[in-house]
Amino acid sequence: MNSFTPDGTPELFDRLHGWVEAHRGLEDETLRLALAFDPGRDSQDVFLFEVSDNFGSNSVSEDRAMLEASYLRPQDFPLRPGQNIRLILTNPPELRAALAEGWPAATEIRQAIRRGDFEILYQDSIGEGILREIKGE
Amino acid sequence: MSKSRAWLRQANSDLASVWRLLNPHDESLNCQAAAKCQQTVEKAVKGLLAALDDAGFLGCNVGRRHDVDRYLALLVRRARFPGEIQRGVNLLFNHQRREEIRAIERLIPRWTEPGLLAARNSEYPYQPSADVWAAPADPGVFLDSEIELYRKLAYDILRGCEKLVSALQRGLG
Repeated sequence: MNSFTPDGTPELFDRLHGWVEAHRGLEDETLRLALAFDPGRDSQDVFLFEVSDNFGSNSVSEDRAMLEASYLRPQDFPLRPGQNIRLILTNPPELRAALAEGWPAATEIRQAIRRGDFEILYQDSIGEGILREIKGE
Repeated sequence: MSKSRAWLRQANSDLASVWRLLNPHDESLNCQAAAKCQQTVEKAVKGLLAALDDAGFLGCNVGRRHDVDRYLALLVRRARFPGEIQRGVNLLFNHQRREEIRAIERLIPRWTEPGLLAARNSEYPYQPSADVWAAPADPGVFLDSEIELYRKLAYDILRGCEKLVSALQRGLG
């Protein structure tokens, strides 16, 4: 059972669900899994993790690091002062490499999921399998 | 000069070099022109990202990595940048443009996994077929018509990013 307590209002999580839903409409990518999670750092921010087919043309980053960005002051999101949305993006092949090689972000996400510090915002049938891979099941 | 403007200035230099490299009587420099077109696009996008960071809308560690398509994935996720900026981003990086950008990014030389053929790129020898090596500078590898498409893409992306950066730096949107 999840022990995740989202650091935000219900309105914020409604907005996050809506935002993730919009990402499903991207022409170039297919969203498989989207999670809100607590990585155990920068606790004032809201962390999101998305796995999309064709993100980065399904390439594996040569830097051996997943892309992470902060959306500062996004409009229409009921955030607290100083609170930001942090998004980590990857694709299935890159995620597999990241988990196998122990990239920091992948390790962080895996540990958060194993602790139950996450909430699923979206998953399709492939995303369910991806989540199991992250858990290490 | 801001970091954003520095990226754009360098992108303009790359684009200017494309014209100097093109020679209708000599295709051997077309590969260099292709590389410069890719660099123009990459630096233009990095300039825009830097401006978004400066304006306090998007924090992303933009460095030397080439993966423009990854950065575009952040922009098109529509975290509701201010009105004019979001509209400008959506128009500039529509589906067609992203496909064109992916095509030009495939020209960046990359490490080839064992057992696979080295793919055509703008700088290093590659393998059109097994046991055959070719140079990007060889005749017929990069045709004038292909380079013209890349040049137009580079021009459009750079000018579009410049406008968005100007709007951001004026606090508009």
